[in-house]
Formats: sequence, C-alpha cells, structure tokens
Amino acid sequence: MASNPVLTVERLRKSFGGISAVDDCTLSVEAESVVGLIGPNGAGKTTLFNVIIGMYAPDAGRITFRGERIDGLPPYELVRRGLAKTFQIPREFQAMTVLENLLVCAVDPPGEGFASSLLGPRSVWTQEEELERRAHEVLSLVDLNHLADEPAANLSGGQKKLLELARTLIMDPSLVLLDEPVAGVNPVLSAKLLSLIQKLRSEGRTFFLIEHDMDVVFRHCDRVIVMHQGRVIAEGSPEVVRADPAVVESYLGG
Amino acid sequence: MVLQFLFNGLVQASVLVLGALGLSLVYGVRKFANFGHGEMLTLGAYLTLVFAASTRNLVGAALLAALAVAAVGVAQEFLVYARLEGRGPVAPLVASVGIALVLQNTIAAWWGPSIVSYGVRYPDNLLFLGGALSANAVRDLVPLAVGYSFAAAVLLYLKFAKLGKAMRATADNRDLARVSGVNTRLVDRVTWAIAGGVAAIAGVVVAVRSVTFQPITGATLLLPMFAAVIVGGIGSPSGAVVGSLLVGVSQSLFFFFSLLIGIDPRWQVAVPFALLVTVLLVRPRGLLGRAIGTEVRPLRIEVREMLRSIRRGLS
Amino acid sequence: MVDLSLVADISRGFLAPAFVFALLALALNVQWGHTGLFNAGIAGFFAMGAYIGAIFATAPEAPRIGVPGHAGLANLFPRAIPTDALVVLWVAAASAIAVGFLLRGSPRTRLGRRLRLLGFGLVFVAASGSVLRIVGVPTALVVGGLVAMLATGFAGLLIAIPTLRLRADYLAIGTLALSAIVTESIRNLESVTGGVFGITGLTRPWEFGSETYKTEAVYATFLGILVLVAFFLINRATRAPWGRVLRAIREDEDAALALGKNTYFHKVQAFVLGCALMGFAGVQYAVLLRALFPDPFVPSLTFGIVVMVIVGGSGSNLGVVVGALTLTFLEYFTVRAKDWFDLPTALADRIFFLRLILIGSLLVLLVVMRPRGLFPEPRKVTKRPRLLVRGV
Repeated sequence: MASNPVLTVERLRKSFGGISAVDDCTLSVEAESVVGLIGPNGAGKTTLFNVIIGMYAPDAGRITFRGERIDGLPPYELVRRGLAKTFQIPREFQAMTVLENLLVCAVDPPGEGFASSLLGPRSVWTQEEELERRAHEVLSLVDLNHLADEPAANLSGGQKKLLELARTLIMDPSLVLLDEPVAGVNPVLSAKLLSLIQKLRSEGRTFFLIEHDMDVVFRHCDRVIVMHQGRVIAEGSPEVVRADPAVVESYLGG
Repeated sequence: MVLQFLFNGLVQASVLVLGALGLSLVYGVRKFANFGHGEMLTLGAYLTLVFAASTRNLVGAALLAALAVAAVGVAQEFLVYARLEGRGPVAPLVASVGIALVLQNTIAAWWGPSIVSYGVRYPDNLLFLGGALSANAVRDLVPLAVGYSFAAAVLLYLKFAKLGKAMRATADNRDLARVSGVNTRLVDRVTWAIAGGVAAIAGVVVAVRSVTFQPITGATLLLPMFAAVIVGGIGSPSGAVVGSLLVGVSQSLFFFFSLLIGIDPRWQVAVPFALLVTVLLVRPRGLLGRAIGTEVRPLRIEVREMLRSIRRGLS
Repeated sequence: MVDLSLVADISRGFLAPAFVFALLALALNVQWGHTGLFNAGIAGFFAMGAYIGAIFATAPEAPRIGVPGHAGLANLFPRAIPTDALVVLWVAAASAIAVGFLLRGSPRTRLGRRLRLLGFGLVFVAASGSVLRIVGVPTALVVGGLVAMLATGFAGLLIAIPTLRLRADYLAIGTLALSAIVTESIRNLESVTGGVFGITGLTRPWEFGSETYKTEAVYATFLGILVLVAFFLINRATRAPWGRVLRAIREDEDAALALGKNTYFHKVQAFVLGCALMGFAGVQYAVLLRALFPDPFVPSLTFGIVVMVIVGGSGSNLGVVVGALTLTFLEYFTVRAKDWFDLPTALADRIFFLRLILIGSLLVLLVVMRPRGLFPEPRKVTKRPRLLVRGV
C-alpha cells in the first residue's frame, strides 16, 4: 500500500450482465508518481478506469481520491476534484477543431451557464481569451499547436492520442488516468510524450496508466500493478513484477 | 360488463399486435424507431383495396398486399437505411419521418384524402355467455383470429427457424452475430420483409375493424404501437405482444371506468401515452426488455443532481 | 404604384408565417442542430403556446347552441403595460447590479456574480417591457406570452426528465406522444379552447381598419424584429462555451460525460429553452391568424420545421432562418400557383400532397447525403460575438 495515496481502490466489484469485469480489486496509487497498470486483454483494466472516473457505479467496494470517498459520483463531480481520463481509442469531437476540442474540456468556464453566456459581462469573454491562451500552451506541449484550427477528424491516429492527453491537461488534474497513451504513436512523439509526463509529475501531478508496451512500462513507471481476471495479482517496482512468475503465467495462460 | 370491455381490449390489442411486432423487429435488428411504420399499415390496407377490386377475394388480396409491402420494406432498407449505418439512432429516425411523409401523401394523392372502405357486409353481433358478451364475427373475431395467429407464427419463427434465430442473434449483438457467421445483411432484409408483411396484414385488420380507413389511419396508430413496444420492452418481440395486450386492455378498461366515474371518455387516447411515460420513468427497459446499454441512474438521483446543477448553472 | 393588396398578401401569406416558423426553426436548432435532440412534437408545444396566448389575449365567449364557447382572460389586464410594474423592474434591475458590483472581491463574490447576472436579466426584461409599452402591445398579450413560455418550458421539462436519461430516440417518441396529447386535449377541453370551433376574436396590437396592407406589413415587421432579437440572443449563447458543450454532447455524449460535462443537465436545459421559444412562437402565430383552430397543429407541421432546420444546416442559426424563409416561400408559392397559373385540375387538387411528398423526399435525401446541411457549421464557431454578427 502506498504511504501517501492519492487514489485508493478497495475491494471493487463491477460486472456486466453476469460477467465479472472487475472482481475484488484492491490497489492504491501514490501521489506524484507514475504507476503502470498492465495485464492481459480482458483483465478489466479499462473497466476499472471507467468505474474510477464515474462512468459506471461499482457493484461493491470503495474508491477514495485525495482522502474523499468518490465511488458512485458522476464524472463531472470527479473532474471538478481533479481527476481526468483518456480513452483507449481516441474519441475526439470530430466536427470541432483541435483547439475547440481542448476548449470544451475546461472545467466550469464561466460562459458554460446559459445565463452567463447570454447576459455574461465582458469577464466571460476575457476568461475565454485566457482559456484560449492556455489551450495553445497545452497544444505546444504536445506539439499539436500548428494544427490548432484543423478539424480534429483530420488528425492521424498518433496525433489523436496526443489530443487525448492534451484534453486532460487543460482540466488541470491532480490524477490522470491514461488508457494506452502511446499506442500507435511514433517513437519520437512517444518519447516526447513520456518525458512530458515525467515533467508534469515533478510539478505535482500523478499518472496512472494502462499500457501494453512493456518497455514503456518498465522504463517510465515507478510502480507497476498487474491485473488478471478482474483482480490485482501482483504489484511493486518494475523489476520485481517482471520477475514474478504469476505475472508471466497470466500473460501466457491468458 | 367488465367482461365486454376486457374483450374489446383484447380485440383492440389484436389490431395493435402485428404492427407493434413489426415495429419491434425493426427496432431490435436495425436499432432505430421507425416513424414510418404506420404508413406500412396504411399501404397494406390500400393495396388490399386495389387487389381486391380485381380479384374479388379479400383474403388473397391481403396476402398479395403483404408481399408488396414486404417488398417496399426491403426497398427502404436498400435505398435508405443501409446507407445510414453507424450514424446512431436519430439519423434513420429522421429519414423514416421523410419516408412516412412520402408514403402517406402518395397514398393521399392517388386515392384522395377521404375515407374508403372494402365494402364488406358485416353480420349482426353474436351474443355469448347469456348476453354478457357481444361480439361481431367480422369486426371482432376476425381481428382476434388473424392478429394473434400471425403473431404466434412470427414468434415461433423467431424461436425455431434458422433465420429467426439469426434475427435474434443480430438484434442481441450484431458484431458478434456477424463474426459467428450470420449474414447480417440478409437478416436485415428478412426483418424488413416480415415487418412489412405483418404490417400490411395489420392494416387490413384495422380496416376491417374500423369499417373505413383513410391515408392517416396508419399514422394514428403509430403512438399506440410505440407505447406497446416500449412497455413490452424494446428488443423483445414477445414484449411487443404483451405490450399490445396491456395497451389495448388498459385503454378499453379506462373507457369503461371513465363512463362509470363520469370523466370524458375521449381521454382514453391518453392511456398509451400515460403507460409510455410511466414505463420510461420507472423501468425504461420495459417489461420483457433487456437492460439498456448505458447505465441509467435512478430518477430521483438524476433530479437531485439536476437541481444542484441549476443552482450552479445560474451563476 | 405598388399593388397594396400584394403587399398585404406577401406580408400575411409569406413573411409573417415565415418569421414565426423561423422562431420554431431556431428553437429546434438549439435542441437538435446543436445538441442532437430530435423533437418530434414541435406542433404540440407550438399549439400549447398558441392557445395559451389566445386565451390570455381574448375576452371569454359564452357557449351558444352547438358552440361551446371558450375561455378568455383579456379582461383581467389593463390595456397598456402598467408603468408601475416597469418602474419596479428597472429599480430591481439597478439594485441587483449595484449590489452585485459591491460584493465584488468580498467573500460573497459568487453571490455578487449571480446578482449581477440577475440584474442584467432584469434589465433585458425591463427594457423589453418598456419598448413594448411604448409601441403599444397590450398587457394581456405580454403576460400571455410569458405564461406560454413558462408552460411550454415546463411541459418540455416533464417530457425531458424521463427520456433524456436514455437514448435520443426515446425523446422523439416521448415528444410525439406529448404532441398527440396536447392536440387531443385542445379538442376535448371545449369550454376552454373552443374545441374544433376554436377561438376567434384575436386582434393585432396595431390595427389599421380598412388599410389591411398596413396591418399585415406592420405585424410582419414586428415578427421580423422578434426574429432578429431571438437570433441575436441564441447566436450569442451558442457561440459561447454553453453552445460548445451542447455540440460536444451532440458529437459524442459519452465522451463529453467522461470529460466532466453534466450532459443530462445540459440536454434538459437546452431542450426546455427550445420548448419555451416554441411556445412563444405559438403566441405570435395565434395573433397572426386572428382565429385559432386545432387544425394547423399536425405532425406535418413538425416535420416541415425539421426540413427547414436540416436544409439550413445543423448548428447554423442563420442557415435555419434561411431554411424557414425558403420553405415558407415554397408553400406560399404552391398555394398561389393554383391561382396564378393555369394548372390542370388533377395537379391543382393534389398540390398539397405533392408538396409534402417533395418535403419528405427532400428530408430523406438530406439525411442520407448531406448530414451537415447546406450551411455547414463554420470552422471555429466559438468567437467573441460582435454586435453586427458576421460569419455565422
């Protein structure tokens, strides 16, 4: 168990129509760390993320975030508290530009209320301009700023993955759940993204990421958690996990 | 007394059941609400009129019309709905609205907007159970017989026939079905054919029961059919049958009670709507439907969250 | 010399109804074009607004033999909007804004912002009220309009709450059902609505006796101004972050939800606001027609508006207004075509149906071929609005 956890999951259960996706899962994520979540396909990793972010309510168990209990809360409550998640297969808003994709992710901007948008004084629009400036900054971080006015649908697969990350960053989260952040991204961009994660970590954010690329996991994660059939079967430093026979077995046996 | 109204309700339900069944099949396999389904009934009724005029045989004409409307259904799939694959449930719904407009007004343009009739000679009512029950051989018993027997046939087909099972599999999980070797394209077309065919029969049944019909006849039944499908449960053909029974009988019983209590009986048309909204509030999946994909949180939690958001949203 | 009867005809037959339908199209655009919520019951909300407006704007008519009569509330109100009410509104507005500004920077700064917003809202209400008073719109009509908006908004809320938790097609079915109930109720509640005999005796705010061209042109202009105001307000809101969230919901609701948007709330809000505007349009329609019957409020009216929106382009506010004008002109033209041109009787009798066949085909074609409509959304939609809106 982490000593200063930003996220704890206790005995979490979630099943769909009789099939158990997450089954008695317990883990924790230390603040300001980069934790990897690995496991064979169908282990329940993405489902776990979806439950944490509030897309599904768990059948049983607890989740705490920064000391507060959050299980059962809807995503908009969690994003307000500093939690963010990307999608495994990028879900960009296709009819919007890259920049707009970012702008829309801002958390509770003043103009989002109907009354404010209509009657809102100049401050709504000045804050909009500020938001736009921040969005350009974030886009520069992920090297997408030159595509800011492109329809998001026109991006390449790897660029869409970067957009996914950028969208979470503009939400100013303390914990980011990344679902396969570098899958399909070219090595140069990948490296840039991963070093960005490290930089942001040193600024106080925490990253919990699902990855299949073992190289990435073992080189960039402080700790690794292994899931299999809905539960945690191993955790620890990359070296320890790598050598764990149960882990190897789960991947081979599937 | 109540017995009479119960019976009326069963007959009314038999009118709905075939239409609702077709609607449910399309909803389940093609995954959208077909707002043009009422027009398939109307088309069936009118084509039967045409064929009966030349063949002088109402039954044969009805079967011919069923084939014709089945073909129209398949044509719709080819021309329109196949092209709307992957665009969510609203796009085909809107398209079906357009198709409804085209069909209904083509019928009106061709035959005129006023009422028409098959000119069937209706016998006197028969009395059963010592006068407690009055039924008309043609207006009541024919719809009962035709409606429920065709419905049973369709349900049996779905349960036992190879294509029927394929239809159920496709409705359940299209990708899985396709990967398992089901020819989903064929299933789509057969679904439309069956839906169209039974809709046409339903149209004839309506026409026979109501004596007269006009271009808007089918459209007026669209709402009760939707109510039946949703109450029974989307994705469940037997649910459509159960839903039709519920809607038909409830409406009839309401009529009865309204006469007793003194409410204006014309409000009976609100019964399908009331049932629809109740189901959506309390159990959106309907009586026999499967759990709906996305999680639906209990209503009171949603409303509470919304009230909170209103306070925030005003700032 | 301009043919005055033609002016009257174009105002009454084309422009005025086009502007009313433009309001409906703008409302549907908020619901469907921006948020992806298909409202199949526009006719119902429209009818509700029309009848509420009519009931407020007319005096009651007692039942006669064979005619049920109808309710009317016009006698409850003074003709002109009372100045006291306006003064109260202005004072309230000013105080709210003042207090709001005073609270700036204090620990109650949130409350201050809300008060300022309330204040600006009240300014708008007070200003509108004052303008309407100066121009001479009767109180009964203004109150009727407000009540209509509240009632239709509430009706929208009632249908939205259960259905918007589910998929979009449930809303479509629910609104279809609601529309049927509304029209049925209008026919049944005869002592209130006059049933099939309708409500007669609606007068325009500005009547010019025998100079019908003036009456019609003036009212058409009034409606045009209403459309401009509605357009300005809606455009401002949809270009703000508010509109952005709606479009995100339209594009991918689950993604919007996961990214922290309260999608249910936004959907309900957008829907209710659209319904309120439809109710408002209904009031104008009643005044336009002068006599209100249940007949116009049928599903083909709903679908006509749908075509206007889809022709205009989902999301483009200007586009749907153009769509409304275009399609109303088409209707005006086909009806006049019977008189202007020598059409064979077979065609003339069926022109009504042919027009609907055309609309239906157009609808199917547009859905299949051009999902973004003729006026696609401009690339970067969220811009700081200028007073003279360009590039909508």
